[in-house]
Amino acid sequence: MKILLSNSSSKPIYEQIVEQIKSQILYGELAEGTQLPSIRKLAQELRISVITTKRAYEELEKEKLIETVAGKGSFVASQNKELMREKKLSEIEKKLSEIIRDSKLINLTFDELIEILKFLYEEDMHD
Amino acid sequence: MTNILAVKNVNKKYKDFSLKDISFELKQGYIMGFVGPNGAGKTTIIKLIMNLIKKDSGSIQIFGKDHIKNEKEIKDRIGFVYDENCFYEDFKLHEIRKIIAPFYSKWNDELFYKYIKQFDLPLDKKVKKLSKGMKMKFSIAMALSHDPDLIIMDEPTAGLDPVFRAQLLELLLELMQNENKSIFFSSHITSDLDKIADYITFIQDGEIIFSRSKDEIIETYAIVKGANDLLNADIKESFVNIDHNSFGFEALTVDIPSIQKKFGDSVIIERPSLQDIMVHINAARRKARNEQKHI
Amino acid sequence: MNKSIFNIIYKDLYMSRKIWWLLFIPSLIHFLLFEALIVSYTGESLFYPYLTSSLYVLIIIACVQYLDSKHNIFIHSLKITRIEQITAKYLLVIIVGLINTILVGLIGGLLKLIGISIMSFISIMDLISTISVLMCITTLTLPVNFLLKANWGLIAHIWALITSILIIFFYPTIDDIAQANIFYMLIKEIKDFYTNYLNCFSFFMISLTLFFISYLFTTIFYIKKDF
Repeated sequence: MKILLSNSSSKPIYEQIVEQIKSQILYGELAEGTQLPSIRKLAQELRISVITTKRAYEELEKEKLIETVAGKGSFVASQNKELMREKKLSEIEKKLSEIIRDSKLINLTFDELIEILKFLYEEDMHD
Repeated sequence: MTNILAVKNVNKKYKDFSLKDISFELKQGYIMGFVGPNGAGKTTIIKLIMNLIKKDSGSIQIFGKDHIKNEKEIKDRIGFVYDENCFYEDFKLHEIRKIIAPFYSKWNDELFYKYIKQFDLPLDKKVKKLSKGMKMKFSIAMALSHDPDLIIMDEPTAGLDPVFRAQLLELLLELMQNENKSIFFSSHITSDLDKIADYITFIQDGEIIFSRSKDEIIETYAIVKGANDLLNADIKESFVNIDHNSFGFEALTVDIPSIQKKFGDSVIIERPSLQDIMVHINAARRKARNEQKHI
Repeated sequence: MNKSIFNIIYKDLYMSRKIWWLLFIPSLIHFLLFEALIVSYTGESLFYPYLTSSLYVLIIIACVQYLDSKHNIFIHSLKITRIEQITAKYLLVIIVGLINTILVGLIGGLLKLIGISIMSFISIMDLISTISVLMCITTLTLPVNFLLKANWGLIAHIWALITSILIIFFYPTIDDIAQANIFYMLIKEIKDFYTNYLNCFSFFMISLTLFFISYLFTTIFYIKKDF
């Protein structure tokens, strides 16, 4: 699990934690059932208050991203596969809209765009 | 969630200083930092908690029990670190261990020697021969060696080099992995508190200004920086304190949403450090008191 | 006596262990000299040896209390109550007085056995009188130690000791000295009681009562003290 906190960001620290863990779960970097460090361990490692880590975990639990079992710890919850797919789809749509806007700026045609997409997709398959 | 330390309406009057209506609580499993300018009353309150000074009125409960009626039981579980060295100066460290160990039911020699080794302390030297930093390290080793449930420290990091300060903070965080332990310490070094405190109690001129979670404090207050011409009487209301120089102003606010609405991008809004908050609140009170004098 | 009081007494004895040896030898020499002097003048042996060596012992107690009072914050952050601290010191007077008197008495007895008959073997009256005098002196000095300045108590004990040393040189004219020095007055009065069991015992009871009143007085005020 990777967490990098920024002191200069205007976002409260607990929010930064929530976002980073959330995206790692959604992108599959944190597998279902993975045990998260205890709130105290996390607080110690990140050198922050245990209240902050507690709050972050509570948020994540509210969003059903993690589950806490008393006496055992916190684990990545089984994600609703459809929900995840839908979330990813909407992100893809957002990114594609951006790409389309950018391509219009340099007068790229639809066919040229498809060519590029095909080329990159196939290249990716070979990796 | 039990309160490990509960101070309620404590008053103590001296000739030229008094503690007024001091109240705050520390829940089990957390670290509370106690800040305030010199002479604000931090040491006095710590002494009151330890029954070294008698309070005029109010109640102090530790582990849910009255701190005077159950003094011994409570002190058995408290690790106390005072800011001046208080051990007998002419005795060697191992002699001091021999004197103190029998008083505590949970004294642990293994722990003691572990800390001595970790802090690199010479057991065969007299206390007076140690440097200030080493005296503090020894105080800490002694306080922790009887496995206390509550650790009370008065300025433990003052006079320590930055390397040891970092080590001490690490040590405290490691101790806090046990959720039954709690720490209460006073400090001037707000950057240390920024790092490890869960709750902050701020005292000034014998009064508690606030006692809240550190996160809440940092999120409620903000530092606002902008050009001097933005200031008018209406705007000044939203600030706790304003400092100007010829290039602009820097102010502390508790009302972030309204500042954002009024000024938007024409000011810089930053997350405050504890030091910023303390300095500004202190300045605001100073100014208010001076104004009162002139009236 | 509970564990804490025992711990405090043990601590005090442990802390002063180096001074014991430093004081024991001079005290032995002192009373041997003094006793020899008195016996040669009067032909009778008195309890002065016990008294003077006890004065050395009081110095130890005053030193320990002085040390403790300089480290009040340390002492009272330990797991003890104020009453225990006071009780331990008052008990220390009696314990140390007893140990010392018996030790000195044994030495006197041993000396007698090997033919150096300069003092009598310890008797009950010697023991009781010495403890009584110790209690009398500390009735005044311990409250001063606890409630005022501990170094005044220490100074008082040192003064009592110096008095007893000077007596060696002034013995022949001791009646004149008596007017000038309160400790010697006290010793002179006790000397008269010494030969009479009833007086000895009454003196003991009076001293004990005063000692106990002093203990109560110190306790009441020490509990309220701010450090």
